[in-house]
Amino acid sequence: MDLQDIGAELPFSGAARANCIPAFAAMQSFSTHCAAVMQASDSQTQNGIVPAITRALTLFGTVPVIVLGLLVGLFDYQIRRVQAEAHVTATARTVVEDLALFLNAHQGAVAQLASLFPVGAGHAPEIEPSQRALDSLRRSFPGFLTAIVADADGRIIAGSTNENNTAGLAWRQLSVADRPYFRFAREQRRPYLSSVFIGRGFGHDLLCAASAPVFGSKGEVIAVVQGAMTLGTLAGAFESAASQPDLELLVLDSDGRVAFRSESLPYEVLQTTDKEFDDLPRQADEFSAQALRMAGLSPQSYIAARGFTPEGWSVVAVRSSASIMRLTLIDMGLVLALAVAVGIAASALGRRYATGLLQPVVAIAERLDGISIAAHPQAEPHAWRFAELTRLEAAFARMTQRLATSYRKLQDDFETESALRVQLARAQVQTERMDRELTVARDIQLAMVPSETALDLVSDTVELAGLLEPARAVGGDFFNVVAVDENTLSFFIGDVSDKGVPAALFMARLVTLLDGPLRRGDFPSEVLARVGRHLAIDNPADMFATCLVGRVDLSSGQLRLASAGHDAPMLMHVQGDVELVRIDGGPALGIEADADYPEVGLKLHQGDVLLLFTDGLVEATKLDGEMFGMTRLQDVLTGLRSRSAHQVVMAMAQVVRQFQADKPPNDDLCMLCLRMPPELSRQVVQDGDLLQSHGLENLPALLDAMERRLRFLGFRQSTRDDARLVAEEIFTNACLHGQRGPAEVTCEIRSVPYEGGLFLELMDDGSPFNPLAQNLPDVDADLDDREVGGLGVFLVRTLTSEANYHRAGEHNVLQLVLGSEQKFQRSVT
Amino acid sequence: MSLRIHIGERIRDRQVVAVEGRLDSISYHELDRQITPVIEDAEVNTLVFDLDKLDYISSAGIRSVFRARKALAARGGRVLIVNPQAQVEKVFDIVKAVPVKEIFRSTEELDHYLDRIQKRIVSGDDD
Repeated sequence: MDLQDIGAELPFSGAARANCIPAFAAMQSFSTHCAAVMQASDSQTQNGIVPAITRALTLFGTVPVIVLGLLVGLFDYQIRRVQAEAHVTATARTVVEDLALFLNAHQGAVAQLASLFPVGAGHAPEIEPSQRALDSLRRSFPGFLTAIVADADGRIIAGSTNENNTAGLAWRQLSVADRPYFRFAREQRRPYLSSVFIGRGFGHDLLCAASAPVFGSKGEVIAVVQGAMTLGTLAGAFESAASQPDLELLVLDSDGRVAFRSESLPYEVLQTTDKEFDDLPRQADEFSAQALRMAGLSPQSYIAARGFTPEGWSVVAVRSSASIMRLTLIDMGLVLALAVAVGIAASALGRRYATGLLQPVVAIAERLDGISIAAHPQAEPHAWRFAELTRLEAAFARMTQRLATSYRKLQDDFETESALRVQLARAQVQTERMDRELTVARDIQLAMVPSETALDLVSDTVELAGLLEPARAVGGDFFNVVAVDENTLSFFIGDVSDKGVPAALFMARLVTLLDGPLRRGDFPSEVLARVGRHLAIDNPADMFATCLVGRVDLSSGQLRLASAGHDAPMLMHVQGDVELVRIDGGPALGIEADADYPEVGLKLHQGDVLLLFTDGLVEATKLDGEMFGMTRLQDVLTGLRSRSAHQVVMAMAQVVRQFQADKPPNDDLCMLCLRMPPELSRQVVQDGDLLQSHGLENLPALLDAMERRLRFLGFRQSTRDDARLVAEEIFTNACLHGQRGPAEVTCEIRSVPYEGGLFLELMDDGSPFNPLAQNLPDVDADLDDREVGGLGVFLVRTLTSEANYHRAGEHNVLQLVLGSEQKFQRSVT
Repeated sequence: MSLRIHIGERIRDRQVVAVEGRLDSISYHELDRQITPVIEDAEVNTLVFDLDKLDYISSAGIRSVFRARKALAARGGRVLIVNPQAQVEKVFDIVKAVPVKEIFRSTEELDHYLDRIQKRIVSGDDD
């Protein structure tokens, strides 16, 4: 199975999968790589490490031996050459000494025999004694092939050979007078040594003759003794002296003719060598390595030495450089053979070593494949040749087991997680649907309590303000105010026992039930009793609600209150003192079918504020559990003296929110506030259609009163707004820009419907000021060039269709018409 | 019914101030006081007065808006008006304290306008 397939089959979660996929890809590419390597190692073994190490070790084992062999060969040649030189010299010297000794000894023996030769009475050698003397000589010196004695005339007197004496006798009377050895000894009267020659009569031995004169009593030469030496006896000695192979010997007599030559040398016995060896040093302990121009020899390098005997004989020892090189090459051949042997050994050992080293790597690769394919690694590591590798593989085995365990755990976790994810997704879909439904439900519920605008429209006289903030999407708190007639208002506030959707549904039912009796003008106790009965009889969910119902007569200020287990309201008198209205209420709605809800009656004065609320207000809690509480409510309310109903509600809500800080509200927040119209005599005087106030501070109250009057008169909102704007601009000017202080100016408004529009008369006792005579600002000028100011008068002039100003006594009087195209005539006073 | 002011979160260089109730010669001080930090905030380049719940305005309130406009114009900023109610729009029309093109009937209109401005800045169009 391909790794990618494994990855696809394993159901990883989003994050885990995102993390794992690169790992899978890496593993896959790794396994592909491994497969490629394994394939390569199958088909091309030269790419493996084992052969590489083997080759390296073979190379590193062989090359030094070869280099060493070459060096050894070089030294070997040099040493052999030095040795050859010494040997050649030594051989030459030894052979010369042997030759000199041989020649000297035989020559001396002949000379001695001559000096002691037995001479007879006739002053001539006698035959018999001579014969004995010669035989004695030859016995003493076997090197002599023959020995003879000749008389002064050259006739042989006696002779000795290896043959019998008869042979010697046969020589008698033979003349040797022509022989150089006789002539030299006879004439020169001293011993003589001949050069080499071939003997006559006794075979063809190569001979050398030594002779000496025998002197008579008067000093005359009476005979000559001669011995002929066979050089053949020396040949064995020469051969043994040249025992070293490749060493050649050449012995030359005093005439430069060859007396002995090694077999391999191209010389013949008795051949004259001319001056071929004259370049050689004359001393035997010197040598020459020059190329010798020997006849028949190829010109090549030779080592040669030459020695001379006192008789002028010489010995030449020769050795060719080629022979030395041959030996050196044999040595080097041995060394190279050794190198090859070492290389083969190193190769075998290296292969074994590398195999031992790399087997664990192959094993680890196999384990990796095992994990990749099956995730079931072998448990037991092998015991390798090297402790470090065994440890490495053991560590690797532990790691792979751990990996496999984690891998399986990951799979398990993922299965669990994906199941949870499916559940979560379903739950999210459901939650979203419920959220949408709840949002709609909230809108519907909030529409069940009157909006700010709706409250404004309920009464012209009483200020009304309400607030509902469900803690959840929907809640169980509610309130409403209805105008029973022009003079009577009924209202209620309540709190369903539960929260959320059930409470909201119950609340909807309750609001509907309360609405009918309230609008009919029923008194609070009747309303509660009727609705309570209705709810208690048919209450499948056993829910209940607290409720406070009130009814106020606006003309008298008489207030009737009844409570079904609801929090008592707060009453703030116009003087600022706050009291909790005490009500002995009945049980909560929905509990008892027949319950009494006794009414409380009290009188509201002008400017009094009645604040109704649910327990979400006083039971609002901080994080540390501290509750807002009745005392705090009382204190806050005290601080809101002479504020409008709206301001009271907003300020109270603000304080509660701050009190709860970041903690989400635990209950719905619901308030309803009634404020009786402030006592006009204190701020605004109303006399028919005339309204009057004193000072800038009371200007809003004056304008409020005017608006209420205009509303009462049925003027549209836009006209009321225009009137308010005009009056505000004129009176603000009068208060702020006159010589009197802002608090000192008295303002009066008279408002009368006029020809489908509104006639306004604005009077103040400020400094004389005619707004109609002012230069109007150029509103078409570039805004950046315009001054801030002068707009109020411009507005007044724009919004009014007619305007008239006059000063009456201490008063500015401005007569204006709004909302009508009709001109009005200036009233004459 | 008096004045309530909600100063919202600043979004980039844009600050929305919602004004509710009645903006007149008595209450304009409160507006001046509350928007002073906004006007002095150099980060604010566009000050939007959301007048959806402003029922009434007199010349004193107009002057407050006018002053805010001048203060922002001094550093290249602007004051925009959105959702003016009937009375307020009428007064704005009369005194022309704010150019008509800087008054928007709805938040959508305003957003569209601001997007256009933004694109113009991004594209480097000088117009």
